Amino acid sequence: MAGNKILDLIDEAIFDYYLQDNYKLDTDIKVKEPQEDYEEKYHKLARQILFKAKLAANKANISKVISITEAKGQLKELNKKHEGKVFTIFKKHIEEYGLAANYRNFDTMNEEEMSSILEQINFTKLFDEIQSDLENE
Amino acid sequence: MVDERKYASLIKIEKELLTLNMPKIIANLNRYALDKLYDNDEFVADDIVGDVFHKLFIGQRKWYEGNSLEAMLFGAVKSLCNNHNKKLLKSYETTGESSNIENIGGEGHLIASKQIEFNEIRDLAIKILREHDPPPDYLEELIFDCWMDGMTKQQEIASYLPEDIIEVRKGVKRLKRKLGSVQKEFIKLGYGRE
Repeated sequence: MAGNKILDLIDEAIFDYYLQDNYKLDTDIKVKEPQEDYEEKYHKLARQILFKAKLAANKANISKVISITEAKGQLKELNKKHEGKVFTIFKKHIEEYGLAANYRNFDTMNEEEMSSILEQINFTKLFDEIQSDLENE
Repeated sequence: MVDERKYASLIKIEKELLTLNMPKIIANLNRYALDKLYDNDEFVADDIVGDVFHKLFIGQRKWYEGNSLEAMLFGAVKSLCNNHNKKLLKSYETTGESSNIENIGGEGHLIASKQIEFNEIRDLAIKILREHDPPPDYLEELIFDCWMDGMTKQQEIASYLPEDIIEVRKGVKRLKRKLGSVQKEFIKLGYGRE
């Protein structure tokens, strides 16, 4: 229907109007329009939403935590599958994490040494990186 | 076809939100919802904006990496407002109530209006628009004409007219305030039901 088309066109134009505004902080773009002073209500809502975002992100992070035992098991498993490759990648990542990485050999590393490294790193990220490096080899 | 887009993790969403002027985007999401809602209900607009963020955080609404998060948020508001409008029109049809939208046209009116060609409807829209106090100025009318020709992007309009993009933006902002009567009148005529 023609009337619907007109309403849709108005709709699209208004959508574009809002979308074209500049919402980025610390931008170099000079906005010639006067800066609007947003109501306290929106500042309060913004704080609440950012707080909820932080909670949601933390929750997601925690749910991905792998136990030390699980991490050790995964390392051993990977080393079995890809003999000789995992330790090099592991060491590289440990160095990237800024930890002292003077470890002799993965096979001879004792449980205490492994645990001390694993306690200091983000396992999920580490395993994602190891997996991705192995796939790229 | 497999959708290969990767949606962002909550950690990335949080990071991206921190790069935005949040009070501004929330205020504009709210204004956009008010513009879209047929009943202009401020409480519903507040709920919709809150709901969009809630759905984003629980993973019901996805933000795909590489896309604009702002576009996703406005798109989600648009979709929730459309759902609300549909329910609203349905409830008016069922109960015969009119609430803020007065005297929605009857079936006969609807059938008659279907027969009117696009240009006639377009003229009707301009006529209603001109009745607004104050009426649209020259630039606002040009912008409205561009919209009716299918040109709805500010950048396109600015190059076509040609006019400074800032002036076009200001014109759209002024015009936007005058559109309520056109939208309400069209809904009365039975449009907007898809």
